[in-house]
Amino acid sequence: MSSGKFYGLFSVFSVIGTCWLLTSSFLPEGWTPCLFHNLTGWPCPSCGTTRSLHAFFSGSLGQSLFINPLGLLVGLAGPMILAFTIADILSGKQRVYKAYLSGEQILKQPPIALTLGLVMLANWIWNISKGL
Amino acid sequence: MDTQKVDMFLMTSGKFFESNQLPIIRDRLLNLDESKWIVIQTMQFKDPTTSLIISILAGSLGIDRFIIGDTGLGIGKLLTCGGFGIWAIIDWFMIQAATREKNMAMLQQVLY
Repeated sequence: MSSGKFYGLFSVFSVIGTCWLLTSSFLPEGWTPCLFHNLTGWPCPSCGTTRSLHAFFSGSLGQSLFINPLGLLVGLAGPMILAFTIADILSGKQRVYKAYLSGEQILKQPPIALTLGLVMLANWIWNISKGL
Repeated sequence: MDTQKVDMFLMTSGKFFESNQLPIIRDRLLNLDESKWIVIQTMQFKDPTTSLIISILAGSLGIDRFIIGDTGLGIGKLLTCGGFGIWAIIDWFMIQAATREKNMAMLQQVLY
C-alpha cells in the first residue's frame, strides 16, 4: 500500500470511527452494525469494542477491560496513533506509515501470528460466554 | 525466455492477474533470463476466487485480508466488525482485484 493511500484510508476511518463513537449512544439498545452478529446471533471477536471505549473514556478502565480488552487497546493506542498521523500529514514525514509497514512484517512472523490468533480466539470465546 | 514456456505460464496462471497486465507480464517474461524460470514456476499465487469465498464467509472478521497478506487492514477490519459491516460488503467486490494486485507485486519482485 502506498503512503498516500494509507494516510487517506486512515483519515477516512478515523473520521468514521469518531462519528460512530459520538453517535452510537443514541442508537436503539441492542442494535449493532456487525454483519457476523446479525447473521449468526453470536458475538464476533470485536463485539463490545464500542461499549468498552465508552467505558474507557468515562474513566471505568476495569469495566472497559471486562467488556472487551480490545476496546481498552483501541482507547489507549487510537488517540496516540491519530495524533502522530496528524503530525505526519502536517510535517510531511511518514513515521506512522513506516511503523505500519514494519509492524505488518512483525505480525506476519508465524509464532507471533499464531500467538495473537490464539489470544483473539480466547477473547472470542470469552465474548460468547459473556453473551455480548 | 522461451515463448512456449511464457505462453504456458500465462495459460495456467493468467487468472491470478488483471487481464490488462498480461501483455506487460508476457513482454517481461520473454526478456527474462532462463534461470528465473524455476523461481516463477514455483511461486504460489493467491487465487482470487478463493479470496472471494473467504470474503463472503468470513470477511467481517478480516480473514480475507489476512489471507492475501494485508495484515494491517485485516486487523483494522477485525477490530471494527468488518468496518461496521460496510467495508465487509465493499470487499466482496474489491477483494479479487486486491488479490490480483498482491500477485502482481509478488511477480514483480522477480521480473524487475
